[in-house]
Amino acid sequence: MILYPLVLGIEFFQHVVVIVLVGVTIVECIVCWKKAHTGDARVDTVIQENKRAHVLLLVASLFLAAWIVVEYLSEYLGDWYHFLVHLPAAIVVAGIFWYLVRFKDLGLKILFAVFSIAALIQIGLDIFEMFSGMDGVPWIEAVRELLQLTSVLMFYFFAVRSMNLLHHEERT
Amino acid sequence: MIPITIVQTAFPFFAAIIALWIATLAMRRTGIMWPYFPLVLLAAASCSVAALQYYQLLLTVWQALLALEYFVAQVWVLVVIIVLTKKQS
Repeated sequence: MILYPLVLGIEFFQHVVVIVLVGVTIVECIVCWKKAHTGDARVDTVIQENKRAHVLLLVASLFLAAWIVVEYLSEYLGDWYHFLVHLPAAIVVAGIFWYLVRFKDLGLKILFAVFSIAALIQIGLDIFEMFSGMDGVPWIEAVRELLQLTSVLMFYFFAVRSMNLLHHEERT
Repeated sequence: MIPITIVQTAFPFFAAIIALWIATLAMRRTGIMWPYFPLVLLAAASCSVAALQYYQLLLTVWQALLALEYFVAQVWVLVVIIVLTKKQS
């Protein structure tokens, strides 16, 4: 099928983004933890104030990684995958986003909006595929991969921007 | 004919990871994001290389996709250079 290279490339990129995101988040947490023990007062207060945001970012990143891994289970779970895994996962990630959007930053709000819209369209597409009986139709797979790439990229930029806001608050 | 090997698919994948890693660290360090998007695009192009290698589709019309990604990245680099130079002066 002609769309297969596109789908494979997008999947590769998703995995690259998630691998880098998880790595950076873990490094970030280690750095924060170490700085908290060196007695740098300013950094210490920043971390103390934003501890919950950091923990939430780590949780959300690992959750997204787990979500991408669990995608492979969709073959075994069948149609129920979308209701048992996909919908709860999207809701949890969106909830964490909702907490972090309190930074009152326009960029974060835009990223949150795009993520939500892409996730909603993807869930709608899955439900459409389930009830229309068009399983495995190539264009649906390609569109789904594109939407998922959008979600993952929005999450990546959201996480990086949140980290920037947490550490460069004078720039905002 | 170029034989399909694991290496031909895996190396661009690792290159993409390294490019995106560097871009992320730079964004994180400077607190600015937009000058480093070309690196993200290069990571995407590298993933396209991996996928096209897997299906042996390089040197076909699919390579236009790569050309487009590289073109956008290069234009973005030009914009970055122009904007930063104007800010300096």
